[in-house]
Amino acid sequence: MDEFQLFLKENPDLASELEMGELPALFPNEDIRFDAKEELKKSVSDYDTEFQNRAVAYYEGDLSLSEQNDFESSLSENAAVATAAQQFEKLKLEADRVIIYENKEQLKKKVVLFPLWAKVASVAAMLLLAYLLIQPRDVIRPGKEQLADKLNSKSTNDIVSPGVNLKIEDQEKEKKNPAVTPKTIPAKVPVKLQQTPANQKPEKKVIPAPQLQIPVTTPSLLKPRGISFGQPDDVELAVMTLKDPTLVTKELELSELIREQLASMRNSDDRELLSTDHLGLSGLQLIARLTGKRLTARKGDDGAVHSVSYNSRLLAFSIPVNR
Amino acid sequence: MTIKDYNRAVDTWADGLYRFVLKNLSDSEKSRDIIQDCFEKMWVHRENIDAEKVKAYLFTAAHHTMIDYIRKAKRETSLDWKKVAEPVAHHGYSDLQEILHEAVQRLPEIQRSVVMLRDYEGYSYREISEITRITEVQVKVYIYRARIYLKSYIGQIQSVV
Repeated sequence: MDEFQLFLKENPDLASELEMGELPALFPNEDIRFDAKEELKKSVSDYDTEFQNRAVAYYEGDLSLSEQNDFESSLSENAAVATAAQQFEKLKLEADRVIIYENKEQLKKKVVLFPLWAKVASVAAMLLLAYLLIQPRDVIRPGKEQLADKLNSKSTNDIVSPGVNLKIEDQEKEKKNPAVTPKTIPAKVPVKLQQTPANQKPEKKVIPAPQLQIPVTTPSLLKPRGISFGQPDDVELAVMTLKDPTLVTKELELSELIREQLASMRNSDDRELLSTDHLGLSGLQLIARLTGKRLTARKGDDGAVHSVSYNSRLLAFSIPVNR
Repeated sequence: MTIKDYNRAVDTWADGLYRFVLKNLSDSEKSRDIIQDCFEKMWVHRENIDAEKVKAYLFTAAHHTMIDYIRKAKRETSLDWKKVAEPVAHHGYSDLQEILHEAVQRLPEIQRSVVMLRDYEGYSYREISEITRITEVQVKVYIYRARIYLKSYIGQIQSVV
């Protein structure tokens, strides 16, 4: 109060107004109006939209557990609201399973299978050629009468790999009489005729392979260059027919010798020995000998290989060959 | 992805993908073209595609190709593609799904695509967001709007069912 009176003394004009009994007052200006009231109002449709959003959220699985419980309790309290909410449950689209894409096969990519037999044959042929190229130092020098018999595969039905008991006549003889000098390695006939009852063709006589005389020392003419290859005594050579023994007397490198031999075989009756089937079979036999595994090829009357059987300690299977 | 995986994907997803595109475009010829394009793209990029993500890849490719086609078609024609939700009184249809699909055709292409991915393939909001390259929130908004529109379009569902 003292401060107020002090203020009045300092402001005499105000003091005079107070004495007159008129106090200043604030009065609202009623001309100023808020013109967006309608937008703030809530209507039934707003309530509906909110309800609809809640219903959609409920059926979309977007509500928390407590919110679901609240919504379900509100539905239970009002049957009309529950009916309206359930309509959203039926609004889910269903795929028309009758509509299918008809050209699926055109979309697919085809797998090109290289014939297993062709793979085996090519690998075997490569191994055979590699083996022929990498000759041991002890070279075969056959005489006139010491030619290895050629494979006769025309009338065979089963060609048994060397892993099976081969009835090669000189095999036992070789084991009993180990060569001292010169080393004697029999040229093997890897083919043994086995006739089945269904195929009673006259058995072709198997000519036992003559033994080849191999000098202990490697002659310089056919010494492979830069290659050192040891050959165990019991290794049986793959079949190779030397038609012209005089070739070995020429000063030829081993690769040239093989090349000339192959060329002469191509131009003679022995060209059938250069066929894929024959090379593949020879390769199989080579693999069987080197690995000790049992590989058996079954040929048909047409001379074509129809299946390859493989036996090992781990597995055994037969592969049909589709031509 | 191997050839085997690719061919398995053709068997598994070609029908669903074709259905999705066809329901969006209503053009079987164009839909087939899009399906072929999608699988061819997948084949070209197969080394970079994980076998487990094949479905998502296919639907993403189909969705974008489809949307591009629709937008191009809009530019080339004078049709007004803006749809307005107009509630239709029920006419006594016997097949609710037929009515629903008729209603879905009136939705904007993005909403239509989103609803179909949700209902046909059961994708989540996040998966739809990845396929359509819009945010999850936007996906949710589109689905909610679509549902409300479908309800209003159908009108009195009780008598239809």
